[in-house]
Amino acid sequence: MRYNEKELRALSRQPAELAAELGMRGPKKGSVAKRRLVKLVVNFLFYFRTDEAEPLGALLLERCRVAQEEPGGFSISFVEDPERKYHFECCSQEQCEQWTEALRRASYEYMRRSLIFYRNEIQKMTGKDPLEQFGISEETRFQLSSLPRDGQSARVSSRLDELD
Amino acid sequence: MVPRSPPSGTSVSRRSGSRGHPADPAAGLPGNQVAELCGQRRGDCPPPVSSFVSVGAMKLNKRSVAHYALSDSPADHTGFLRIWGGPGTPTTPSGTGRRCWFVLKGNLLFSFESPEGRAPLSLVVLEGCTVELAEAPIPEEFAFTIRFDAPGVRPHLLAADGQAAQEAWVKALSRASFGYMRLVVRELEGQLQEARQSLASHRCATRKAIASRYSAGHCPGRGFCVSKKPSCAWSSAASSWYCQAESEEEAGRQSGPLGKVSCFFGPQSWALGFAVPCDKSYSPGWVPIKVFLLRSHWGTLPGPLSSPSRTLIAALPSSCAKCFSI
Repeated sequence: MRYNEKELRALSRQPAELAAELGMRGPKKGSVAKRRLVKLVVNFLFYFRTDEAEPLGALLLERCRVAQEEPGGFSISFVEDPERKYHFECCSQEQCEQWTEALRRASYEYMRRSLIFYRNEIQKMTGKDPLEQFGISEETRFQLSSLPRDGQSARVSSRLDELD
Repeated sequence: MVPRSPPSGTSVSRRSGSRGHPADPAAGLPGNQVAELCGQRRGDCPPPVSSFVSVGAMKLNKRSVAHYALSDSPADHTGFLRIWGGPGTPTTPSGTGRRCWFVLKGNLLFSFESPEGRAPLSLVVLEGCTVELAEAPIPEEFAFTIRFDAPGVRPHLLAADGQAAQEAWVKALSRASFGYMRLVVRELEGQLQEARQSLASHRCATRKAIASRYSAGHCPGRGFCVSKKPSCAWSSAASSWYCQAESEEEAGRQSGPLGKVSCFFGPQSWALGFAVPCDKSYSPGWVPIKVFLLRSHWGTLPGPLSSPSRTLIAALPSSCAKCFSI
């Protein structure tokens, strides 16, 4: 699977929701924690070597699980393989909580759920659809039916390993 | 604004053959480190030179990304589009381009060989871009471009099958950014807050007579309901009591933004009543109370105030009970 790497690199230079130097350890067995500059921009988590301007890599944060890990750290894993975790070490519990909160809310799908929730609540309270005034009430992305049905994954390819 | 030359596909620095990058930033093998330093694949790397600056392939959790693309989370837009500059097409917009099945999910545009494709061919991350109808001299009908602010990036040229499809795609893509979604969410967040505040003040005014019977202060304590239906947590504010949903079932199928206890209060998730002490015993530190329900989110209840359907046994933390002179 190809992707627009240049644009993604440019995105990594945009203002971040959160950025900090953290210890980071990949999901492979026996991997060692390294200091990385970790930067949260929209629904991507970029990580850099601490002295470099170009990112080493990025994690798309859709359908991910963020969990606190003792002591003073957290992990990110993805729905399709929850045992495969990226580990991060924070310098304090507060920092850890700050990151886990921010990461849980960092996905497009999370925002979509929030929006649908707010829209529904406002409609119940006021009797009016708040999106109508913006002329966007019919957009697919704002419909109730746009919520994913968790626990099902269709057509997941066994050839995912051969992506290119 | 017309693109001067057709897109050449993905960023030129990567050959499609360079795979094998596990999304593992900490692979500790010396060979790998050397490869990262000089930005080339393992095996064809010259000795590292400290002043050599080259950009290695950026890692991405492709497997998870593809999983997301294939998952049944509903797409924001789908359809066939013709693209130029992908694999197997010439770099000039000659010919009709390559016809692929495109899926827009959030701020990510995926392409597949067909709707039944089992692995995405490509991904375009739609942040920092502008989507426009393509103009002459592009000879293609129903074409549009995705242009990025990033320097040195060529626009992507795509074409739909008809005018309606072209317009629908331009609309869907131009609103696909995370920022746009965030804007709308924040706007609604503000509106909800306003609606709650005006609802609360309205309630305060009309319920004063009842509330004054119990000298209520502002007591943001939490209690919980013992006889449930559904189970809920009680808290008090101003001169009325509001019940806040604590479970997803109670709140309905949609959970609140934080996925845990949130202020779900509105006409369908609150209960209003006044409380008296009751003789049920409960845990230390808690004051059992009997609440006479006036109204609740499960409807206006019939029958006399003292009938079982109109009463609820709940428990307040002792500190809260003081506020209410119980």
